[in-house]
Amino acid sequence: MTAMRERPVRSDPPGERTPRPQVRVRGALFDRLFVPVVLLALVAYLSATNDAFFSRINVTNVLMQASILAIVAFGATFVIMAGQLDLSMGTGSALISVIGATVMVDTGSVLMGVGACLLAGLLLGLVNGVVVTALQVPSFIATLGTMIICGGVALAMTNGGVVSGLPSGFREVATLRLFGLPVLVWGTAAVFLLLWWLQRQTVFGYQVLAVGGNAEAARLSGISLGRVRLLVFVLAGLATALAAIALLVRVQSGQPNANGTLALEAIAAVVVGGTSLNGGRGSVVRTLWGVLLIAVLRNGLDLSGISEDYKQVVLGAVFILAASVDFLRRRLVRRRVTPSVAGPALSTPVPPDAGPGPAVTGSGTVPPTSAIAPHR
Amino acid sequence: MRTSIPSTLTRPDVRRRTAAALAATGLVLSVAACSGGDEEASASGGGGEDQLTVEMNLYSRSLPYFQDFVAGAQERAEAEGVTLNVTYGETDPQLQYDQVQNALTQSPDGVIVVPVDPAALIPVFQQASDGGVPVLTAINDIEEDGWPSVVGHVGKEYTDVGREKAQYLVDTLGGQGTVAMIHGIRGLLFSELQAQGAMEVFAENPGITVIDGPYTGEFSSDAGLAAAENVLTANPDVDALYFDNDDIALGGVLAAQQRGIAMEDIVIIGTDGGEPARQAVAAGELDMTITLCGFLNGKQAMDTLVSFVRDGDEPAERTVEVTSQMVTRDSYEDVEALIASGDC
Repeated sequence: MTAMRERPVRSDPPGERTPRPQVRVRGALFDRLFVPVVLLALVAYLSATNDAFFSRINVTNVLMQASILAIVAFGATFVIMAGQLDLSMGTGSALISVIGATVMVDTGSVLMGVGACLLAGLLLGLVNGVVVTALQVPSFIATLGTMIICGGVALAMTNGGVVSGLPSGFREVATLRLFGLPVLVWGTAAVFLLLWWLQRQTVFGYQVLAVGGNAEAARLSGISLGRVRLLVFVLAGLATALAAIALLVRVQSGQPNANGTLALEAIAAVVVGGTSLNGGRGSVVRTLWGVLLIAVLRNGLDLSGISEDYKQVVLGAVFILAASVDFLRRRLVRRRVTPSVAGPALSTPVPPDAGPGPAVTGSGTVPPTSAIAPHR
Repeated sequence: MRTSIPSTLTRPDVRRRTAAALAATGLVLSVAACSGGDEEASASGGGGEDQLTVEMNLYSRSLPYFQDFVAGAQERAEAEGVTLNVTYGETDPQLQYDQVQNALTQSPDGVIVVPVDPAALIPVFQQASDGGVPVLTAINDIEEDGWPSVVGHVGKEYTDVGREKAQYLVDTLGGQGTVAMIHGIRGLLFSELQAQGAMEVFAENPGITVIDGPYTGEFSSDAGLAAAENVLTANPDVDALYFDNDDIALGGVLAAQQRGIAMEDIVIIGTDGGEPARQAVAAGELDMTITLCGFLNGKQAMDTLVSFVRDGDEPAERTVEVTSQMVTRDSYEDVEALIASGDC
């Protein structure tokens, strides 16, 4: 209980001080629909002003351009929901692409290369996880360290040059299309569905939110903090490996200088989507919206041909605007709640979203530990 | 301190090249002698003399070009009995400032710097010059204010590289056509000066329409691919894609291929001439790349500094020009031979 008093932000004793459901639904709805609505508005605007935008080839391009960011951001969502950060995913994916390409070139085997990528990703995730949990190093510093190490190793392995000459079988995979879309897009969709399931339908998914929301409460309810934190980093490591494989598919070469800012972009995509950087609140679906918003915006800015410097200004402004919706949501709730109740009620954790799809109904069989789901 | 050297030598192609270059030491010496008449005495008389220490600070590790530069300088350093210590500025002027300042506390006999920024290092060069430590800049020149503090400069102007590339496009397109420029990193001298030189040439050719495209933000094929996809979507009938680096240009090749554009119907050019790019030229995918001959540049820089330190020979001109080699399908084999012999 002392811990709860220390961090009233996270405490939400059920039955007490819970605002009327109707109010929370309104705030939550605004919160949940904000980014998708902005995205739709952007798509509508770009389609109206540029003929090339909604062409089949450009839609494919946007999806392809979003794929690597998406895979990394889906993995990062779990890390952030658990209240941690992983900065090593960008240079990590560059290093793993170099490792995978080198193995493929040396052995001539695509499977060996893919295996090497996954193994390297697992190792990276384990190192991050062990440093954070066993050595108690804050994840920002721990993964900053591995980020720098990965960049250094990638350059040492290649002298900064790309590793090309992958087996011809691998090139065929890259050009393969299913139902009109490149295999990479389907792969990204599969990663999304898998992680969505993991977040919504497994005990682990709720444990991640619980640990990120209130670590002490989670510990007292019998969740092993170390195990959950280690697992989110392993998950991020594997996502990094998948992103590296996606990079190999996309450009058919190991790229030591790629993805320098990818980890930060992934964090931006996660937060823009509406996942709390403090942990305990968020979802993979939100991240999907965040990624699509960034990818469409980037593509639209490139097509519009405006000056590079202003592009950066627009991009930064959109990041801030989209992320500030959390504040707006709270304002919206505050206006409708009596002042005496307002304080603690404002910060009650919002449940993970059900997402746009019909597949998931309510919080299902798994009782969430800290995120008490209000019934709509 | 010399950590980068062993890793450089473990690369098969570099090892091969270094071995070939060592075998051709006689040739190396004659090349060194050619680069300036005054150097002949010192070059042939080098080797067994007093042990020198040279501190070298590079722009970054991130491009093979810089690693070639180090390998070239290292080869000449070994031949001249020079201990070479290398540090890397990682594209950060502030870090580079500190590194050069730290290097000066070792009281080296000379310093070779590839500056990240044309102005930021001038105070520390001034400090070196006051302390009697000669400084040579290479690859990127500094602003005129700093010239009195340095021995000279070894390198090729990026604006000239841009001009040559633009002229190649003008000639290839017969003076008529649309060129889309896809840049590397905003604010990076390598990207900006090349573009500046290229724009000068395009401006003189009214038949050429220039689409000033996006910056990729990093030198990776994926970034180049995404940028080229968007440029080709917005401007489906471009005749040529200009990239300021090969890694992004290789992404441009993929973008054109995925769009179903035949490689004969589009001209794609880059800069750097690394092995994957040269292979792409040989395969007819990339039309042209320019190698700035990092290995030769490194050798020339080391020779220029050593002859100044040993014999007080100042370079005849403030800037020692470095040759670059245009790699096209026609010149591809000649350039490969030059690189194999260590002359580029």
